[in-house]
Amino acid sequence: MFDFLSSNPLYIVLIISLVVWGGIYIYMARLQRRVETLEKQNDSQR
Amino acid sequence: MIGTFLNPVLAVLRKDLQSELRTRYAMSALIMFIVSTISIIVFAIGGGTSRSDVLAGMLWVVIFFSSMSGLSRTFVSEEERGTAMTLQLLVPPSVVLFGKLLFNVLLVIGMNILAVALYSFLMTGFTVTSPGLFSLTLILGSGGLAASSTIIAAIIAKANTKGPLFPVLALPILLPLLVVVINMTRLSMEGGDISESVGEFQFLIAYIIVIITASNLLFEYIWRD
Amino acid sequence: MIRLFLGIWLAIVTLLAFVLPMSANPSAWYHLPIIPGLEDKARILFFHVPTAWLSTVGFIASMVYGIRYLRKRDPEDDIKSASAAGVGFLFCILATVTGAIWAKFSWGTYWNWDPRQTSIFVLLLIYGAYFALRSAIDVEEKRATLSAAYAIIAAVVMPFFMFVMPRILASLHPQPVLNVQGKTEMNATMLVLLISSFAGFTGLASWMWNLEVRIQRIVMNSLSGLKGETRV
Repeated sequence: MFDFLSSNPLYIVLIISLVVWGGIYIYMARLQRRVETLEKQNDSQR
Repeated sequence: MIGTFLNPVLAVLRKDLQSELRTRYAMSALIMFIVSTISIIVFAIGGGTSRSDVLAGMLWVVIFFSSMSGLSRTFVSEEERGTAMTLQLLVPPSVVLFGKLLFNVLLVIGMNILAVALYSFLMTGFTVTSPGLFSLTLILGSGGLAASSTIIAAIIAKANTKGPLFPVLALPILLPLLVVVINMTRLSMEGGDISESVGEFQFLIAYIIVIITASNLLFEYIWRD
Repeated sequence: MIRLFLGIWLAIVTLLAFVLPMSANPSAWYHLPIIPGLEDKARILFFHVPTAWLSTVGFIASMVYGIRYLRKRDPEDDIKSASAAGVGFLFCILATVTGAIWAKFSWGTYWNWDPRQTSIFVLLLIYGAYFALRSAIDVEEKRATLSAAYAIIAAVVMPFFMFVMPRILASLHPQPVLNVQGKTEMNATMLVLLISSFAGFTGLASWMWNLEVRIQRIVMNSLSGLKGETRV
Protein backbone atom coordinates (compact mmCIF):
# COMPACT_ATOMS: atom_id res chain seq x y z
CA MET A 1 0.00 0.00 0.00
CA PHE A 2 2.68 2.50 1.07
CA ASP A 3 4.99 1.48 -1.77
CA PHE A 4 2.19 1.66 -4.29
CA LEU A 5 1.25 5.15 -3.14
CA SER A 6 4.78 6.49 -3.04
CA SER A 7 5.40 5.28 -6.58
CA ASN A 8 2.07 6.72 -7.77
CA PRO A 9 1.89 10.11 -6.02
CA LEU A 10 -1.20 11.10 -8.02
CA TYR A 11 -3.20 8.72 -5.80
CA ILE A 12 -2.00 10.58 -2.70
CA VAL A 13 -3.49 13.71 -4.23
CA LEU A 14 -6.70 11.74 -4.85
CA ILE A 15 -6.83 10.58 -1.21
CA ILE A 16 -6.24 14.12 0.03
CA SER A 17 -8.96 15.61 -2.15
CA LEU A 18 -11.33 12.84 -1.03
CA VAL A 19 -10.50 13.62 2.62
CA VAL A 20 -11.35 17.29 2.04
CA TRP A 21 -14.62 16.54 0.23
CA GLY A 22 -15.51 13.79 2.73
CA GLY A 23 -15.01 16.21 5.62
CA ILE A 24 -17.26 18.78 3.95
CA TYR A 25 -19.83 16.03 3.27
CA ILE A 26 -19.89 14.97 6.95
CA TYR A 27 -20.32 18.60 7.97
CA MET A 28 -23.23 19.01 5.55
CA ALA A 29 -24.85 15.80 6.86
CA ARG A 30 -24.61 17.22 10.38
CA LEU A 31 -26.32 20.44 9.27
CA GLN A 32 -29.05 18.34 7.62
CA ARG A 33 -29.66 16.42 10.86
CA ARG A 34 -29.94 19.62 12.85
CA VAL A 35 -32.43 21.06 10.37
CA GLU A 36 -34.50 17.86 10.64
CA THR A 37 -34.67 18.04 14.44
CA LEU A 38 -35.67 21.69 14.16
CA GLU A 39 -38.43 20.72 11.72
CA LYS A 40 -39.67 18.06 14.10
CA GLN A 41 -39.76 20.52 17.00
CA ASN A 42 -41.63 22.97 14.82
CA ASP A 43 -44.26 20.33 13.91
CA SER A 44 -44.82 19.22 17.50
CA GLN A 45 -45.27 22.79 18.67
CA ARG A 46 -48.09 23.37 16.20
CA MET B 1 -2.39 60.40 40.73
CA ILE B 2 -0.57 57.08 40.91
CA GLY B 3 -1.39 56.85 44.60
CA THR B 4 -5.14 57.13 43.98
CA PHE B 5 -4.91 54.10 41.72
CA LEU B 6 -2.30 52.18 43.67
CA ASN B 7 -3.87 52.43 47.12
CA PRO B 8 -7.10 50.56 46.28
CA VAL B 9 -5.05 48.01 44.30
CA LEU B 10 -2.92 47.36 47.36
CA ALA B 11 -6.07 47.16 49.44
CA VAL B 12 -7.42 44.39 47.20
CA LEU B 13 -4.04 42.66 47.41
CA ARG B 14 -4.02 42.94 51.21
CA LYS B 15 -7.55 41.57 51.44
CA ASP B 16 -6.57 38.56 49.29
CA LEU B 17 -3.39 37.95 51.27
CA GLN B 18 -5.32 38.05 54.54
CA SER B 19 -7.97 35.61 53.36
CA GLU B 20 -5.24 33.40 51.92
CA LEU B 21 -3.36 33.41 55.23
CA ARG B 22 -6.60 32.50 57.02
CA THR B 23 -7.63 29.59 54.82
CA ARG B 24 -4.28 28.64 53.25
CA TYR B 25 -6.21 27.05 50.39
CA ALA B 26 -4.08 28.10 47.40
CA MET B 27 -0.82 27.67 49.30
CA SER B 28 -1.48 24.15 50.51
CA ALA B 29 -2.79 23.09 47.07
CA LEU B 30 0.32 24.49 45.41
CA ILE B 31 2.74 22.95 47.88
CA MET B 32 1.12 19.53 47.72
CA PHE B 33 1.05 19.67 43.94
CA ILE B 34 4.73 20.59 43.70
CA VAL B 35 5.79 17.89 46.15
CA SER B 36 3.74 15.17 44.46
CA THR B 37 4.75 16.00 40.87
CA ILE B 38 8.43 16.28 41.74
CA SER B 39 8.33 12.99 43.64
CA ILE B 40 6.69 11.29 40.64
CA ILE B 41 9.46 12.61 38.41
CA VAL B 42 12.09 11.42 40.88
CA PHE B 43 10.52 7.95 41.00
CA ALA B 44 10.29 7.86 37.20
CA ILE B 45 13.77 8.96 36.20
CA GLY B 46 15.60 8.41 39.47
CA GLY B 47 17.09 11.88 39.77
CA GLY B 48 20.25 10.77 38.03
CA THR B 49 19.68 12.24 34.60
CA SER B 50 21.92 15.06 33.49
CA ARG B 51 20.28 15.81 30.14
CA SER B 52 19.62 19.53 30.39
CA ASP B 53 16.65 19.57 27.97
CA VAL B 54 14.79 16.86 29.93
CA LEU B 55 15.50 18.55 33.27
CA ALA B 56 14.48 22.01 32.04
CA GLY B 57 11.29 20.65 30.47
CA MET B 58 10.34 18.68 33.61
CA LEU B 59 10.85 21.72 35.85
CA TRP B 60 8.40 23.77 33.79
CA VAL B 61 5.92 20.89 33.63
CA VAL B 62 5.91 20.94 37.44
CA ILE B 63 5.50 24.73 37.52
CA PHE B 64 2.78 24.81 34.85
CA PHE B 65 0.53 22.18 36.41
CA SER B 66 1.06 23.43 39.95
CA SER B 67 0.01 26.92 38.98
CA MET B 68 -2.99 25.44 37.15
CA SER B 69 -4.12 23.86 40.42
CA GLY B 70 -3.70 26.93 42.61
CA LEU B 71 -4.25 30.04 40.54
CA SER B 72 -7.81 29.37 39.42
CA ARG B 73 -8.91 30.10 42.98
CA THR B 74 -8.36 33.88 42.77
CA PHE B 75 -11.68 34.68 41.13
CA VAL B 76 -13.57 31.45 41.83
CA SER B 77 -13.41 32.09 45.57
CA GLU B 78 -15.02 35.52 45.11
CA GLU B 79 -17.88 33.95 43.14
CA GLU B 80 -18.34 31.10 45.61
CA ARG B 81 -18.43 33.33 48.68
CA GLY B 82 -20.68 35.79 46.85
CA THR B 83 -18.30 38.66 47.47
CA ALA B 84 -17.86 39.43 43.76
CA MET B 85 -20.92 41.71 43.82
CA THR B 86 -19.60 43.78 46.72
CA LEU B 87 -16.25 44.16 45.03
CA GLN B 88 -17.99 45.26 41.82
CA LEU B 89 -19.82 48.01 43.68
CA LEU B 90 -16.85 49.25 45.67
CA VAL B 91 -13.97 49.53 43.18
CA PRO B 92 -13.48 49.95 39.39
CA PRO B 93 -12.68 46.74 37.46
CA SER B 94 -9.08 47.61 36.63
CA VAL B 95 -8.32 47.95 40.36
CA VAL B 96 -9.65 44.44 40.99
CA LEU B 97 -7.64 43.09 38.04
CA PHE B 98 -4.36 44.61 39.17
CA GLY B 99 -4.90 43.61 42.79
CA LYS B 100 -5.53 40.00 41.77
CA LEU B 101 -2.62 40.16 39.33
CA LEU B 102 -0.21 41.28 42.05
CA PHE B 103 -1.48 38.54 44.35
CA ASN B 104 -0.92 35.94 41.64
CA VAL B 105 2.55 37.26 40.84
CA LEU B 106 3.54 36.94 44.51
CA LEU B 107 2.03 33.46 44.70
CA VAL B 108 3.77 32.24 41.53
CA ILE B 109 7.16 33.68 42.49
CA GLY B 110 6.94 32.09 45.95
CA MET B 111 5.83 28.82 44.42
CA ASN B 112 8.62 28.87 41.84
CA ILE B 113 11.30 29.51 44.45
CA LEU B 114 10.02 26.54 46.44
CA ALA B 115 9.77 24.36 43.33
CA VAL B 116 13.30 25.20 42.17
CA ALA B 117 14.74 24.65 45.66
CA LEU B 118 13.04 21.27 45.98
CA TYR B 119 13.89 20.32 42.41
CA SER B 120 17.59 21.10 42.69
CA PHE B 121 17.69 19.29 46.05
CA LEU B 122 16.11 16.08 44.71
CA MET B 123 17.38 16.06 41.13
CA THR B 124 21.14 15.75 41.40
CA GLY B 125 21.68 16.43 37.70
CA PHE B 126 20.07 19.87 37.93
CA THR B 127 22.88 22.40 38.24
CA VAL B 128 22.54 25.99 37.08
CA THR B 129 25.82 27.35 35.74
CA SER B 130 24.67 30.92 35.02
CA PRO B 131 22.48 32.00 37.97
CA GLY B 132 21.85 35.51 36.59
CA LEU B 133 20.21 34.20 33.42
CA PHE B 134 18.29 31.59 35.39
CA SER B 135 16.85 34.02 37.94
CA LEU B 136 15.82 36.49 35.22
CA THR B 137 14.12 33.65 33.36
CA LEU B 138 12.34 32.55 36.50
CA ILE B 139 11.10 36.07 37.33
CA LEU B 140 9.91 36.89 33.80
CA GLY B 141 8.42 33.41 33.41
CA SER B 142 6.51 33.83 36.67
CA GLY B 143 5.28 37.24 35.54
CA GLY B 144 3.97 35.88 32.24
CA LEU B 145 2.43 32.83 33.91
CA ALA B 146 0.65 35.00 36.49
CA ALA B 147 -0.51 37.54 33.88
CA SER B 148 -2.17 35.05 31.57
CA SER B 149 -3.60 32.84 34.31
CA THR B 150 -5.20 35.85 36.00
CA ILE B 151 -7.34 36.70 32.97
CA ILE B 152 -8.12 33.03 32.27
CA ALA B 153 -9.13 32.61 35.93
CA ALA B 154 -11.48 35.59 35.55
CA ILE B 155 -13.13 33.86 32.56
CA ILE B 156 -13.29 30.48 34.31
CA ALA B 157 -14.94 31.92 37.43
CA LYS B 158 -18.07 32.68 35.42
CA ALA B 159 -18.32 29.19 33.85
CA ASN B 160 -20.17 26.20 35.32
CA THR B 161 -17.42 23.58 35.29
CA LYS B 162 -14.39 25.25 36.72
CA GLY B 163 -11.70 22.73 37.55
CA PRO B 164 -10.81 20.86 34.35
CA LEU B 165 -11.40 23.84 32.05
CA PHE B 166 -8.55 25.93 33.42
CA PRO B 167 -5.56 24.06 31.96
CA VAL B 168 -7.47 23.54 28.69
CA LEU B 169 -7.95 27.27 28.23
CA ALA B 170 -4.54 28.27 29.57
CA LEU B 171 -2.32 25.91 27.57
CA PRO B 172 -2.67 27.51 24.11
CA ILE B 173 -2.13 30.95 25.64
CA LEU B 174 0.92 29.87 27.65
CA LEU B 175 2.57 27.64 25.05
CA PRO B 176 4.78 30.32 23.40
CA LEU B 177 5.90 31.49 26.85
CA LEU B 178 6.69 27.94 27.98
CA VAL B 179 8.67 27.15 24.82
CA VAL B 180 10.89 30.22 25.29
CA VAL B 181 11.28 29.76 29.04
CA ILE B 182 12.22 26.07 28.76
CA ASN B 183 14.78 26.95 26.13
CA MET B 184 16.31 29.63 28.36
CA THR B 185 16.39 27.32 31.38
CA ARG B 186 18.29 24.79 29.30
CA LEU B 187 20.66 27.55 28.18
CA SER B 188 21.30 28.64 31.78
CA MET B 189 22.17 25.05 32.73
CA GLU B 190 24.61 24.82 29.84
CA GLY B 191 26.31 28.04 30.89
CA GLY B 192 24.85 30.53 28.42
CA ASP B 193 25.37 34.24 28.92
CA ILE B 194 22.63 36.86 29.48
CA SER B 195 23.82 38.84 26.46
CA GLU B 196 23.13 35.83 24.21
CA SER B 197 19.40 35.85 24.91
CA VAL B 198 18.45 39.51 24.71
CA GLY B 199 15.90 38.65 22.02
CA GLU B 200 14.20 36.16 24.35
CA PHE B 201 14.02 38.71 27.15
CA GLN B 202 12.45 41.23 24.81
CA PHE B 203 10.00 38.53 23.77
CA LEU B 204 9.01 37.77 27.37
CA ILE B 205 8.62 41.43 28.32
CA ALA B 206 6.53 42.11 25.20
CA TYR B 207 4.39 39.04 25.98
CA ILE B 208 3.71 40.25 29.53
CA ILE B 209 2.89 43.80 28.40
CA VAL B 210 0.55 42.61 25.63
CA ILE B 211 -1.28 40.15 27.89
CA ILE B 212 -1.75 42.74 30.65
CA THR B 213 -2.97 45.38 28.17
CA ALA B 214 -5.46 42.96 26.59
CA SER B 215 -6.64 41.80 30.04
CA ASN B 216 -7.15 45.39 31.13
CA LEU B 217 -9.31 46.09 28.07
CA LEU B 218 -11.32 42.87 28.34
CA PHE B 219 -11.68 42.54 32.09
CA GLU B 220 -14.37 45.21 32.28
CA TYR B 221 -16.64 43.09 30.05
CA ILE B 222 -15.88 39.85 31.88
CA TRP B 223 -16.23 41.28 35.38
CA ARG B 224 -19.53 43.12 34.98
CA ASP B 225 -22.38 40.93 33.81
CA MET C 1 -27.81 30.28 -9.41
CA ILE C 2 -24.64 31.38 -7.60
CA ARG C 3 -24.53 27.98 -5.87
CA LEU C 4 -24.74 26.14 -9.19
CA PHE C 5 -21.92 28.31 -10.50
CA LEU C 6 -19.88 27.61 -7.33
CA GLY C 7 -20.37 23.85 -7.79
CA ILE C 8 -19.28 23.92 -11.43
CA TRP C 9 -16.35 26.18 -10.52
CA LEU C 10 -15.07 23.81 -7.81
CA ALA C 11 -15.59 20.78 -10.06
CA ILE C 12 -13.49 22.40 -12.79
CA VAL C 13 -10.77 23.40 -10.32
CA THR C 14 -10.67 19.87 -8.88
CA LEU C 15 -10.50 18.35 -12.35
CA LEU C 16 -7.77 20.72 -13.56
CA ALA C 17 -5.74 20.09 -10.39
CA PHE C 18 -5.48 16.46 -11.47
CA VAL C 19 -5.24 16.57 -15.24
CA LEU C 20 -3.02 19.55 -16.10
CA PRO C 21 0.34 18.11 -17.20
CA MET C 22 3.58 19.05 -15.48
CA SER C 23 6.74 19.81 -17.41
CA ALA C 24 10.26 20.84 -16.49
CA ASN C 25 10.17 23.95 -18.68
CA PRO C 26 6.53 24.98 -19.15
CA SER C 27 5.92 26.17 -22.69
CA ALA C 28 2.21 25.78 -23.37
CA TRP C 29 -0.28 27.85 -21.35
CA TYR C 30 -1.70 24.78 -19.61
CA HIS C 31 1.62 23.44 -18.32
CA LEU C 32 2.34 23.37 -14.58
CA PRO C 33 6.00 23.60 -13.49
CA ILE C 34 7.75 20.68 -11.81
CA ILE C 35 8.82 21.64 -8.29
CA PRO C 36 11.95 19.60 -7.42
CA GLY C 37 11.33 17.08 -4.65
CA LEU C 38 7.54 17.36 -4.92
CA GLU C 39 6.64 16.52 -8.53
CA ASP C 40 3.05 15.22 -8.66
CA LYS C 41 2.68 15.64 -4.90
CA ALA C 42 2.71 19.40 -5.51
CA ARG C 43 -0.86 19.01 -6.74
CA ILE C 44 -2.17 18.72 -3.18
CA LEU C 45 -1.45 22.44 -2.98
CA PHE C 46 -4.85 23.10 -4.55
CA PHE C 47 -6.65 21.26 -1.72
CA HIS C 48 -4.41 21.58 1.32
CA VAL C 49 -3.50 25.28 1.21
CA PRO C 50 -7.11 26.59 0.93
CA THR C 51 -8.12 24.53 3.99
CA ALA C 52 -5.21 25.96 6.01
CA TRP C 53 -6.16 29.46 4.82
CA LEU C 54 -9.80 28.97 5.80
CA SER C 55 -8.93 27.69 9.27
CA THR C 56 -7.10 30.98 9.88
CA VAL C 57 -9.84 33.08 8.29
CA GLY C 58 -12.49 31.34 10.41
CA PHE C 59 -10.53 32.15 13.56
CA ILE C 60 -10.04 35.80 12.60
CA ALA C 61 -13.71 36.17 11.62
CA SER C 62 -14.72 34.67 14.95
CA MET C 63 -12.53 37.19 16.76
CA VAL C 64 -13.81 40.16 14.73
CA TYR C 65 -17.44 39.28 15.44
CA GLY C 66 -16.46 38.71 19.07
CA ILE C 67 -15.16 42.29 19.25
CA ARG C 68 -18.36 43.53 17.60
CA TYR C 69 -20.41 41.61 20.16
CA LEU C 70 -18.54 43.19 23.07
CA ARG C 71 -19.18 46.64 21.56
CA LYS C 72 -22.83 46.35 20.59
CA ARG C 73 -24.18 43.40 22.63
CA ASP C 74 -26.12 42.12 19.64
CA PRO C 75 -26.79 38.33 19.97
CA GLU C 76 -26.60 38.09 16.18
CA ASP C 77 -22.87 38.87 16.33
CA ASP C 78 -22.30 36.06 18.84
CA ILE C 79 -24.07 33.61 16.52
CA LYS C 80 -21.88 34.76 13.63
CA SER C 81 -18.76 34.45 15.77
CA ALA C 82 -19.58 30.91 16.96
CA SER C 83 -20.56 29.78 13.45
CA ALA C 84 -17.34 31.13 11.94
CA ALA C 85 -15.42 29.20 14.58
CA GLY C 86 -17.40 26.06 13.71
CA VAL C 87 -16.56 26.25 10.01
CA GLY C 88 -12.97 27.21 10.81
CA PHE C 89 -12.64 24.19 13.11
CA LEU C 90 -13.74 21.84 10.32
CA PHE C 91 -11.14 23.27 7.94
CA CYS C 92 -8.51 23.19 10.68
CA ILE C 93 -9.10 19.45 11.12
CA LEU C 94 -8.98 18.94 7.35
CA ALA C 95 -5.74 20.92 7.03
CA THR C 96 -4.18 18.86 9.83
CA VAL C 97 -5.24 15.52 8.35
CA THR C 98 -4.26 16.34 4.76
CA GLY C 99 -0.96 17.80 5.96
CA ALA C 100 -0.23 14.65 7.95
CA ILE C 101 -0.96 12.38 4.96
CA TRP C 102 1.31 14.48 2.79
CA ALA C 103 4.05 14.45 5.47
CA LYS C 104 3.92 10.66 5.60
CA PHE C 105 4.98 10.47 1.95
CA SER C 106 7.36 13.42 1.89
CA TRP C 107 9.03 13.24 5.30
CA GLY C 108 8.32 9.61 6.22
CA THR C 109 6.23 10.30 9.33
CA TYR C 110 2.71 11.54 9.85
CA TRP C 111 3.80 13.99 12.50
CA ASN C 112 7.22 15.47 13.22
CA TRP C 113 6.54 18.81 14.98
CA ASP C 114 7.49 20.96 12.07
CA PRO C 115 6.77 24.66 12.85
CA ARG C 116 3.79 24.62 10.49
CA GLN C 117 2.42 21.47 12.07
CA THR C 118 2.95 22.94 15.51
CA SER C 119 1.11 26.13 14.54
CA ILE C 120 -1.87 24.22 13.19
CA PHE C 121 -1.83 22.06 16.33
CA VAL C 122 -2.00 25.18 18.50
CA LEU C 123 -4.86 26.49 16.36
CA LEU C 124 -6.66 23.17 16.94
CA LEU C 125 -6.04 23.52 20.70
CA ILE C 126 -7.47 27.05 20.65
CA TYR C 127 -10.57 25.95 18.74
CA GLY C 128 -11.00 23.04 21.16
CA ALA C 129 -10.65 25.33 24.18
CA TYR C 130 -13.11 27.81 22.64
CA PHE C 131 -15.80 25.17 22.20
CA ALA C 132 -15.09 23.64 25.62
CA LEU C 133 -15.64 27.08 27.14
CA ARG C 134 -18.85 27.64 25.18
CA SER C 135 -20.30 24.30 26.23
CA ALA C 136 -19.49 25.03 29.89
CA ILE C 137 -21.72 28.12 30.14
CA ASP C 138 -25.53 28.03 30.04
CA VAL C 139 -26.52 31.69 30.17
CA GLU C 140 -26.44 33.12 26.65
CA GLU C 141 -25.04 36.60 27.36
CA LYS C 142 -22.35 35.20 29.63
CA ARG C 143 -21.37 32.59 27.06
CA ALA C 144 -21.13 35.21 24.31
CA THR C 145 -19.06 37.64 26.39
CA LEU C 146 -16.63 35.09 27.78
CA SER C 147 -16.03 33.24 24.52
CA ALA C 148 -15.47 36.55 22.71
CA ALA C 149 -12.96 37.57 25.39
CA TYR C 150 -11.16 34.23 25.08
CA ALA C 151 -11.00 34.46 21.28
CA ILE C 152 -9.45 37.93 21.55
CA ILE C 153 -6.83 36.81 24.09
CA ALA C 154 -5.92 33.82 21.93
CA ALA C 155 -5.66 36.00 18.82
CA VAL C 156 -3.41 38.43 20.65
CA VAL C 157 -1.02 35.62 21.58
CA MET C 158 -0.84 34.07 18.08
CA PRO C 159 1.73 36.59 16.68
CA PHE C 160 4.13 35.60 19.48
CA PHE C 161 3.79 32.05 18.36
CA MET C 162 4.54 32.95 14.76
CA PHE C 163 7.65 34.73 16.04
CA VAL C 164 8.92 32.04 18.39
CA MET C 165 8.50 28.89 16.27
CA PRO C 166 11.00 29.57 13.44
CA ARG C 167 13.68 30.54 16.00
CA ILE C 168 13.43 27.22 17.80
CA LEU C 169 12.84 24.77 14.96
CA ALA C 170 13.87 24.74 11.31
CA SER C 171 11.09 24.14 8.83
CA LEU C 172 11.05 21.61 6.02
CA HIS C 173 7.67 22.83 4.83
CA PRO C 174 7.74 24.00 1.21
CA GLN C 175 7.02 27.68 0.78
CA PRO C 176 5.76 28.23 -2.71
CA VAL C 177 2.93 30.53 -1.59
CA LEU C 178 2.93 33.91 0.08
CA ASN C 179 6.63 33.97 0.91
CA VAL C 180 8.31 37.28 1.49
CA GLN C 181 11.32 36.83 -0.75
CA GLY C 182 9.09 36.36 -3.77
CA LYS C 183 11.02 33.28 -4.88
CA THR C 184 7.98 31.32 -5.97
CA GLU C 185 8.54 28.31 -8.12
CA MET C 186 5.08 28.70 -9.64
CA ASN C 187 4.19 29.90 -13.07
CA ALA C 188 1.12 31.93 -14.01
CA THR C 189 -1.03 28.84 -14.69
CA MET C 190 -0.36 27.34 -11.28
CA LEU C 191 -0.98 30.68 -9.57
CA VAL C 192 -4.27 31.24 -11.41
CA LEU C 193 -5.45 27.74 -10.56
CA LEU C 194 -4.44 28.19 -6.92
CA ILE C 195 -6.26 31.53 -6.68
CA SER C 196 -9.33 29.97 -8.31
CA SER C 197 -9.21 27.18 -5.76
CA PHE C 198 -8.90 29.72 -2.92
CA ALA C 199 -11.90 31.61 -4.31
CA GLY C 200 -13.98 28.44 -4.73
CA PHE C 201 -13.28 27.08 -1.26
CA THR C 202 -13.82 30.49 0.34
CA GLY C 203 -17.19 30.71 -1.41
CA LEU C 204 -18.09 27.23 -0.20
CA ALA C 205 -17.04 28.10 3.38
CA SER C 206 -19.10 31.28 3.39
CA TRP C 207 -22.11 29.27 2.21
CA MET C 208 -21.58 26.77 5.06
CA TRP C 209 -21.18 29.67 7.48
CA ASN C 210 -24.44 31.19 6.24
CA LEU C 211 -26.34 27.91 6.78
CA GLU C 212 -24.85 27.47 10.25
CA VAL C 213 -25.81 31.05 11.22
CA ARG C 214 -29.40 30.51 10.05
CA ILE C 215 -29.76 27.25 11.97
CA GLN C 216 -28.36 28.76 15.17
CA ARG C 217 -30.65 31.76 14.78
CA ILE C 218 -33.71 29.48 14.62
CA VAL C 219 -32.48 27.52 17.66
CA MET C 220 -32.05 30.74 19.62
CA ASN C 221 -35.45 32.11 18.62
CA SER C 222 -37.24 28.87 19.51
CA LEU C 223 -35.46 28.80 22.90
CA SER C 224 -36.53 32.36 23.72
CA GLY C 225 -40.04 31.47 22.51
CA LEU C 226 -40.14 28.52 24.93
CA LYS C 227 -39.06 30.76 27.80
CA GLY C 228 -41.90 33.16 26.93
CA GLU C 229 -44.44 30.32 27.01
CA THR C 230 -43.38 29.01 30.41
CA ARG C 231 -43.60 32.49 31.83
CA VAL C 232 -47.29 32.83 30.80
